[in-house]
Amino acid sequence: MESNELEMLEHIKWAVSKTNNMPLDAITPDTSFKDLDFDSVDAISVAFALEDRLGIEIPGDELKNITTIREFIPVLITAVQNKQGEKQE
Amino acid sequence: MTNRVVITGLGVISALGPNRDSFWKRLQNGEHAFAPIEAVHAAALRYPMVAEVKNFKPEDSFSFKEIEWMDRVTQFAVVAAREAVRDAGIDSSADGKARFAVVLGTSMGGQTTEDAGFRDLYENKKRVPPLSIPRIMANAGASHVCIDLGITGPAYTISTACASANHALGQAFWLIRSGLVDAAVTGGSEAPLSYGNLKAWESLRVISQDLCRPFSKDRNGIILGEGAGILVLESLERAKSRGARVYAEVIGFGMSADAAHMIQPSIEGAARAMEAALEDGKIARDEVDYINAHGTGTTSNDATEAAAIRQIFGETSRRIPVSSTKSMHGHTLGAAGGLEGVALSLTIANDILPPTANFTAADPECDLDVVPNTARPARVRVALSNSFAFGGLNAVVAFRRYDGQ
Repeated sequence: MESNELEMLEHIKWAVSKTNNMPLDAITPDTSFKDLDFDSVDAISVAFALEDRLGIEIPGDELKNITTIREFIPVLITAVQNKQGEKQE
Repeated sequence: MTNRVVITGLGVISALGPNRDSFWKRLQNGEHAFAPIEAVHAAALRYPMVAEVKNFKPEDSFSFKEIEWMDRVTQFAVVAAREAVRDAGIDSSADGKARFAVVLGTSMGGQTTEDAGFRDLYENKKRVPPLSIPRIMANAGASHVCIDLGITGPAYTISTACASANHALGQAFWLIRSGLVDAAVTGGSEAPLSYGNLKAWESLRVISQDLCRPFSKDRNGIILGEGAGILVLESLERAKSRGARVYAEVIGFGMSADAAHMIQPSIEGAARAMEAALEDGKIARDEVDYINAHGTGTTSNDATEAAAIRQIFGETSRRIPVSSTKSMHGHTLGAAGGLEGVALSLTIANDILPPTANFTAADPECDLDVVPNTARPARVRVALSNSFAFGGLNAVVAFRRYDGQ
């Protein structure tokens, strides 16, 4: 995993830990939403926490197909890049 | 004592127009009312599309003193109730006013007043105005309808989110059927387009970016609307005695609770509410010719509702036209069953099915005849109006055509 992916992973672990009230070290890239007993609303709460923390916007459509923590990483990277793009404009 | 119950008056204010006729005309044309919001700074919203009542001037309908006491949600309720009572051609304040009920639905109550008052308190360190509480309370609409129309019988407000007005309609129906009252003003009102409330809906991610497309494969959420839909119900005996025009008869009411999830709908819960309405009205399944769907335009609601309809009606479900007028007037939450009850009354009385607008492509998950985009002539014997609320509280009302028998 590259450094920015690792950084995003830490953000996601933080958000999942907060949303699911569980210890950070219990969450790995391969933890699935099913393992966490997550439904679509929990995924929305994780996205909400990340948007707040990073000042980004995660489009709703992106959340639909995510089933593991690992799959969330590229979505978050894109959202952060979009924000940086906006700043440069 | 069991009375038959008929609909003799209709009133509506919505994004489609200020009254019943404008509402019905645009429903028949399949025209939606969605546009970026004007009341709130649209650029501050991720999902700016709404179905907004435009050009509404409270001073055209109310005195300065009345406006002081009324939130927008109450103004809508009273405007639509006045139209419905006028349409029924009755004097609700005459003898018998104590046997007249008012049962209204609302989900959010005086949201606009609450949002503005608390913002002033938190941000501007101002005090909250003295009439805030009587403007915000959810029963304000029912109270003002009683005051305005001189009605002194049983009156209350039901709040079951998106099913509020259907629960109210069903209760009003039962009050008359059981003989407790002779007539009722019922339906619902909602004015949910305050900045705070819109931001809360935004976070929940159920709002469409562009249009509400119920049952369509590319549907992507609801669009919030505002307004009020009000019906006057009477015992058939009372209606006949004064030679009233009858739009349709109310014949059944069914309720259920999903007891499952706060916002994810359940096939079982929806099916049980429809089944209860059929049982209450002693309706055979093959009598049902049309369903005004809950049809919110979310992925899960529409697929769940379609599955519930299939569960109740089996193979014949493909022959029953099902349309969602929310595709045009938006999701008015606690007013939804009111607007849709008015729409259904006009559907039956005029032999025209309003379409599901903005439909682009069929979804195998919603394998129904959804009357896509174009209204259709049809003689409806019995129809259902579905409402399935957040919180899993469901209410279904059954109407029958009335041919003077």
